[in-house]
Amino acid sequence: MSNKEALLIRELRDSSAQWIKGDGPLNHIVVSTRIRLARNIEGIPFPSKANERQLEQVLNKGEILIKKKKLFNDFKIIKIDDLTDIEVQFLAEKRLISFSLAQSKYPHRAFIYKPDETISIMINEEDHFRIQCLMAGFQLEKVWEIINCFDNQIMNEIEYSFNEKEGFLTCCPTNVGTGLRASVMLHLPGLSIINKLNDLMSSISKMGYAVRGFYGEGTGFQGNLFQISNQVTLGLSEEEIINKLKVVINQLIVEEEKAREELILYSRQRVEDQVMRAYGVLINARIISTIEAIDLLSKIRFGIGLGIFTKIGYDTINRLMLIIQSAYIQLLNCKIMDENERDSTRAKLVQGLLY
Amino acid sequence: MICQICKKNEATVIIIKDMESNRKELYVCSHCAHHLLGSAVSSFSFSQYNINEILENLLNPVGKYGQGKNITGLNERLKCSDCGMDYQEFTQSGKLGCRHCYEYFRERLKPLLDNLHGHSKHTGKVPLNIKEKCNRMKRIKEIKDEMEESIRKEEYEKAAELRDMIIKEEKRLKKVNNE
Repeated sequence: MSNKEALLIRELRDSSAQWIKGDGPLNHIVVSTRIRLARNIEGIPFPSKANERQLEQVLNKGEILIKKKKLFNDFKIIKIDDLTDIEVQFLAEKRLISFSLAQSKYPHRAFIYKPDETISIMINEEDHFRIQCLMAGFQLEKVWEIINCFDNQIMNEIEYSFNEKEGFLTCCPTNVGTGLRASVMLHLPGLSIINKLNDLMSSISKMGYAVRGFYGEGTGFQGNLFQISNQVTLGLSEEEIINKLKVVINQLIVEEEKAREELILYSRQRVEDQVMRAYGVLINARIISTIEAIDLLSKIRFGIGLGIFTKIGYDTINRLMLIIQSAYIQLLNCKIMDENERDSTRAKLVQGLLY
Repeated sequence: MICQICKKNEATVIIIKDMESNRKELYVCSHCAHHLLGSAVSSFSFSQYNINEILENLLNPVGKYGQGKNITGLNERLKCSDCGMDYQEFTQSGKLGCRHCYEYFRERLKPLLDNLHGHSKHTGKVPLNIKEKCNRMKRIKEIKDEMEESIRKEEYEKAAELRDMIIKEEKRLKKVNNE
């Protein structure tokens, strides 16, 4: 690995993304809002059919982009091929790149990012460019405004594959048209306790929205955290997609708020007991698995939302949710660890931030 | 006879598609017939489904993204001559190879896009250069209509002015196309 890459990974390990501050609108229920745009460069086959030289060409275009100081002031680029497996996994755990980019075998994969981690571009994922904007709380319009402006500026430099019938052309037809996937991460412990979650999530799926867990596609549901995203990308304008998703999310927020009010009114002591027990376990455990830690941290987050728990804020919870993961723990401790060692280090890590 | 789908149970149902001389028969067990008809019928409104359409769906290979409508497509090797992507390959992986695949496979992709998105025509954002091109073409058409109207009214001076405007606009359009 080059020194430059090692330095950037160290910086990312110690820094916190803007969304981790957890201070956005409706942050008691919405953790973060993300929009990504899938884009391909005109004249180059999609990564599925591009040869090595063409993938390199895509990477070069990305490198040229970040030299445009006006648009990409302070942006950094990290080439995936130069990283160790643990570092690549760490980037995925930090929600900077997708697990699909981390696991893909394409050469010349890279990602470009703004140091506050609000905007990034994955290069040579399923599409040439996957542009992403991620911010704290519920702010679909703001995130769209930022990413749209950024996308327009890139379009001044690079011609995208586009036709008037199918819109922005993507490798997989599930993304074609706008190439836009908006997803909102929600924390819904209230609905989970009153057993309304399954019905609501299944009706949301039936309405054509995808429901995923905190750590994305293929990972289970942990800590009552859910990412809801649009699946339709063609035939609606970007604003229509966003507004439709907003209606669904607002409805969920209303339901979660109702559930929380009900719980506080009728079962305050029981809820308080759950939150404080979670705290008790977290600060006393000697070994703890990722799944158990997420489950308990989710209860603490609930306690913060209800005003029951005031020792720490959402920023600490968000950071903990990330650093307790396997690759992140190993990077923080600068060594390869087996599961037992990770479990005991995780317990200490949590206690360090909770005390 | 053994079921042609599961290759285990006894075939008790014959599905026949008979379109003029092109007769196809599929021998299946009751379980597979139920499964096939169930999935085929569910993609149509039950009250107005067309049995021929269902059978075409049944008798065509259905891969992950296979939505074949044309029975002759069974042996047809549809290929994108730009990147070499084979339609069969796409039905397995779900991934297209390049922008031209959308043109080569358009007819087959349309029902798939309709199914996935409920639409098959883009109505969102358009890159600025393409938008500008469309606007310029629209403007040229408007001036041309106006010029024809002037000629009809025998306002030749105005028509000449409009003709000059068209030449100017066409030069601009050429510039946009070359950018």
